[in-house]
Parts: sequence; C-alpha cells; structure tokens
Amino acid sequence: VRVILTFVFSTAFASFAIAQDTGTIAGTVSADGAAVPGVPVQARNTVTGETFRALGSATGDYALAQLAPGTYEVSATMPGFSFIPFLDSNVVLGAGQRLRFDITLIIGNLGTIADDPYMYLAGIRAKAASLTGPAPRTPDGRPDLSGVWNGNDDLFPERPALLPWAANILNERLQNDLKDHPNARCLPAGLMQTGPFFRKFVQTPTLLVVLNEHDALGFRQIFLDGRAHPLDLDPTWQGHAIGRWDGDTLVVDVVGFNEESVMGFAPHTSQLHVTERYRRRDVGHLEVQITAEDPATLMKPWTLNMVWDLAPEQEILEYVCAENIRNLHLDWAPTPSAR
Amino acid sequence: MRAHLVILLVTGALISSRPLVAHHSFAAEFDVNQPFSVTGTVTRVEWTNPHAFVYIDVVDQQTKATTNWSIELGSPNVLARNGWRRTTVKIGDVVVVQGSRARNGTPLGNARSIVLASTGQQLFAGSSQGTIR
Repeated sequence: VRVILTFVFSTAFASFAIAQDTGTIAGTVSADGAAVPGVPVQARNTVTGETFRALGSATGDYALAQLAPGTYEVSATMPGFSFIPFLDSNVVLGAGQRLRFDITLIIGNLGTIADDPYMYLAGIRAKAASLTGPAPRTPDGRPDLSGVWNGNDDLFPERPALLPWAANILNERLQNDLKDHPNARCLPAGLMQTGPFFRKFVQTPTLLVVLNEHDALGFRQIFLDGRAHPLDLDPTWQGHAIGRWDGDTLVVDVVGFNEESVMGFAPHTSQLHVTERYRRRDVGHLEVQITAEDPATLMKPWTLNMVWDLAPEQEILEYVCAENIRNLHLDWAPTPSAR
Repeated sequence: MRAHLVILLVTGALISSRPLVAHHSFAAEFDVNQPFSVTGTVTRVEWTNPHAFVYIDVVDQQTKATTNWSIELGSPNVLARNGWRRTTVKIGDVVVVQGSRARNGTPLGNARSIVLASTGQQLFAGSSQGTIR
C-alpha cells in the first residue's frame, strides 16, 4: 500500500511540476561549421521514458518545449551523416530553464559524386512527395500497392534493445565503418534495410512481387493466396513471406531467415520474425511499418515507421553488384591493376 | 579558373558527407585526411555497378613519370538519374579531379569533383555543386 501511495503522490507531484516548471531544450544542428537543415532531434526523459521530437528548421534551429525538469537523452540521426547517431544521455534541464544545446553531427567528409542518394535524389523525392489523390484500387476492391516506390528512413528511429552480444557486434561494425556489411560483398542486406532505394511493387490478387533495385537479390515474393508458412523451412536471406489484408493494410508475416543478413546494422538469429504493414494512404504515399522480433537478439520487439514516396517517372534499373567490385579490404576483390 | 576551383573545394568540404547506406563505406576505403587534386588525361571509363570508375594518366611534373589513377564515383544508376551519361567524360579529356585518397596509398581516390581542364566545365559534381534533378 505504501508503494502505491508513494507512486500516486509522486505522479501527482510530477504533474504539478510539469504544469509549473517546464523548460525548453533548443539549439542549432551543424556539421563542420555549417548549419544542417531539417534534422530530426529527439529528447527522452531518462526516468519516465517520455519522448519529445522536433524537426530542425531550414537554418538548423530546433526547439523541444514543455519538458519537465530532469535528465534527458538527446539524439539526432540524419541520413547522409555518420552511421553513429549523435547521442548525449546526460542533458540536465532545470525547472523553467531554457537550455541551449547545440548538436554537432559527424561527417565522413568524402562527398563522393553520386554516392549519397539522399542528396542526389532529393529532387525526385520532393516531386514524389507532392503527389495527391486517393489510392487506386484493384477490381476486387483492395488497395493497389503497385508502383515504383522510393524509400525513406524512419525520421525518429527507435534504437533496437539489443542483448549484450548483439550490441557488441553492432558497436564493432559501427567503429569499423561497416566494412563487413553484406552489401560490401554484394550480398543481400535483408528486410530491415531502409533508405532511399527504388522498389517496384507488382500486385496480383494472389501474389505481391517486389522488385528491389538496390539489394543483391533483386526480388521478393509475398504470397497472398492464403497459404501458411511451410513447417520445415530452409533458412534464407529474405525468409518466407505471406500476406493478408487487415482492412486497407497489407500485413506481411516473414519467418525462416538465415543468420547472415543484418537487422539495421545489427546481427540477428534464425529466430527472427518480421511483420511488415503496408498502407497506401493516398496515391503518392505508402506507410510502411516493419517490426522485428528475435528473443535471442532483442529484449523487446523493434519497430521502424516510414513513409515511402511514389516515383512514377522512375523505372527499376539493372544493378549487378558483382560486376565491378573492388573494395580494398576484400582480399578476393580484383585490384585495379588486375583488370 | 583557379579562384573557381578554390570555391568548389570549400563548398565540397562543407557539404560532403558519409552516406548512411551505400554499397560500401567510402570512409572505410578512403582517408579524408588525404585530400588530393590531380590533373590528367582520361584513359578509360567504366560505367559499371556498384560504382563507376574513371582512369586518368597523371604526369609527375618533376620526374615526368606517368601514373594511372583510378577514380571512384557512385553507382551509374544514381549518376544516370542526375542526368550524367557514360559519355559525360570521354577518353582523351584532360580533367582536374579532387577527392580523398585511398587509405592504402595506391593511386586510387574517390571523386568529389571532376572538371574539364580546358574550359573549367564541371562534368561531375559533388552533391551541392551540380544540377540535382
């Protein structure tokens, strides 16, 4: 009883404190001395877990207002910048304080021509994002997901709650610039790879075909004919996918993964179970939610939420990754002089 | 043209970035602390996935020795979607290339800018320098 009373009291007190003494964390996001526009910034109260989010302005300014006093974990993940997100888990906000907290992103400073699709495809993405109109439907009344879609990342990605063995591997990969990422060996990255890559959905009543330009395998089959997963699956890179309609949302259930692909940049085991939810909210936008469950890797399910843009003027191009691979750290890749 | 190039260099430093997801990590291959700028004659163009390459013969002004540099770009798919073609750089063109050199010290670099030496025309550009469609 005492515990409950204490809880009730502290909750009431916290509410009072929030009403009276909230503060603001605000600042500028920059990299290499220049402001970075449009960066998603997130602050999580380290005690209550309450999360606040804001998108930076065109001049790099952000503000997170009406925060209860306390200690916050401030993070910012921006496509095109370091693999390692900005993270400071000890930002102390006093009662009623306006705390200036500037964020500096790490840049690799390479700027390779055409290597960063976020920047190079910005025009295509902006054009696609402006499309309006209702989602088309198939003759049988289902939403039609067909079209060429340009992916986007989750703006405010949740961090996977990894068990220590997996966290250690993830950290090692980030520290070595992902040189052993499957894509670096022209192998598939897996279903949790997000980002600005083109996928073409071809929907029939019984099968959804996904042509994936960027990933090494290039295609996926999602069976819509009501079949179940086979009982004895051979593990594969993309697993076995079956889909069913939940109203206007296509829910895809995937099992049977091998342990080679990546989950984000983290490892996973063959116990990985992925649930994908696709909803075409209008003609130009596909809401995509991907949830990974793997009790041998994750302490709790990990979910990403994205909105992909229709890219009607784009076509899927050939991408044969093994055509001319020569990463310097791969001992089997041909050196320039060997060609 | 010299002033023009300096401006490009500065701009390049400001906007350049490490891609979140690329075929491989350029940061693992190339050293940002080894910037280079070389002028040479194009000997070969590989319009291939996962990355395009331009090869140039660079003559050392002191020793007169010729070194063939290989210059790595992004994927032809992204290049094409920005309006660049496999014929944008031609064999025999004399170009100025700027980028970061390979960590292993070989004459290999990524390209942040490729400029036609005779006219100063920007053939391929880093992300904020060219026409982005």
